[in-house]
Amino acid sequence: MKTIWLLSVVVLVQGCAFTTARLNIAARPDTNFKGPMSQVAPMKFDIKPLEDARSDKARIGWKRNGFGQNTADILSTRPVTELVAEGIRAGLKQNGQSAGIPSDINISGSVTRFWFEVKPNFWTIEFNGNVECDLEFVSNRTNAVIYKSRYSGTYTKKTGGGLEATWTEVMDASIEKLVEDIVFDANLIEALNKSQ
Amino acid sequence: MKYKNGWRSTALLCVFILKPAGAADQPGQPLSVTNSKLGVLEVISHRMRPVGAGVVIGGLIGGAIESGIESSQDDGMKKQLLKSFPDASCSQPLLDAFTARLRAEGSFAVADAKGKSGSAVDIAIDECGLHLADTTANQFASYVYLTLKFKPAGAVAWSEKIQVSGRNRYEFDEFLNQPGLAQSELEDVLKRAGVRAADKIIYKK
Repeated sequence: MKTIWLLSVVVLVQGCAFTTARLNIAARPDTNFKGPMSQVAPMKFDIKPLEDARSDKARIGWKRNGFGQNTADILSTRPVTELVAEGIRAGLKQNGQSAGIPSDINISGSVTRFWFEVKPNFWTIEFNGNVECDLEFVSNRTNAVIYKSRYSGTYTKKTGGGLEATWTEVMDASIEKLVEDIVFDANLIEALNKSQ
Repeated sequence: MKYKNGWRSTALLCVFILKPAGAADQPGQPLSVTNSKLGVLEVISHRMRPVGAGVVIGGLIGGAIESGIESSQDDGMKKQLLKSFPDASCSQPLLDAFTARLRAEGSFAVADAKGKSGSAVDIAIDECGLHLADTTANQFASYVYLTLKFKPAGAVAWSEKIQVSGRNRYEFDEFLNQPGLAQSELEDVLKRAGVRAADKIIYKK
């Protein structure tokens, strides 16, 4: 009986490991992005479609079996460029800014990394999410680049274990950290103030 | 002082007492600041690197052993880095930027940590140093992870994790060979994290 139970568990685990995981990632609506950008006089931003410049565009992470071998993809249900743009839009909105055309500032750029990784430690498992993008902020009035920067959002969680809900939570938080990196950027805020 | 999640200011490992500033330039509410965890410089090369051969060969136990080996490699890199940057501090640039931002904004008067009234903030620097930021190009960036715990006067305490990465990427050897590079990159990220932590308190509603 014990053997059958053990075999069932192994089959179940291996079965899961061979199935593609699709994570429904999104910045959580209750996330508070309000920061110093709320002091900038309201402006209208147009977020141009971001380029997907990731080195691995096929997946956002690997699912592994009990031996750590890559067995299946971890995917996002929505394009990562959309997720990042949506996060930026939410961050701007919470800071009293708006999105639309005709715009004061055009935002363009690329998503360079959107990756989920699991590292087993001696006593815990470490889940790491990392989202990065390069952004350019262009004044619509002068057509000049007023500011450009690389932004990064990292989130790390150490627990005894976790499945898709935990992975999604880690990637949600990584996007939120990325958005925070953008809307709390003092140099960007200074550039926006100067552009007015 | 009892916090929602059970930690007490009396149990703090280290209390950072800030010099009270003059009332004239700080009309805001009193805020005591502690730094319960100073943070130690780390070099983390493996966190975002895909699972290696140890796991493939030995399963999760192999992975755990490999993790231990990688930690030992990171310690070696850290020792190399500390030769050129022996007085590395994870806390001072961050705390200086934190208090400077609060003072400039004016909502809070940074006070003696022993003060019993007003609000209280604790900054625990969990990790800081250099981490592998680009696994394809094998390039590193400065980084800091901290936990901000804030107890507003007469309101519910909250805490938040702040994780900030440096904007620039370099190969590890560049940090070793370019004098001042590691220090300037680390200070930049610590200052940004300090300002971020202050802004979180200022703007949290």
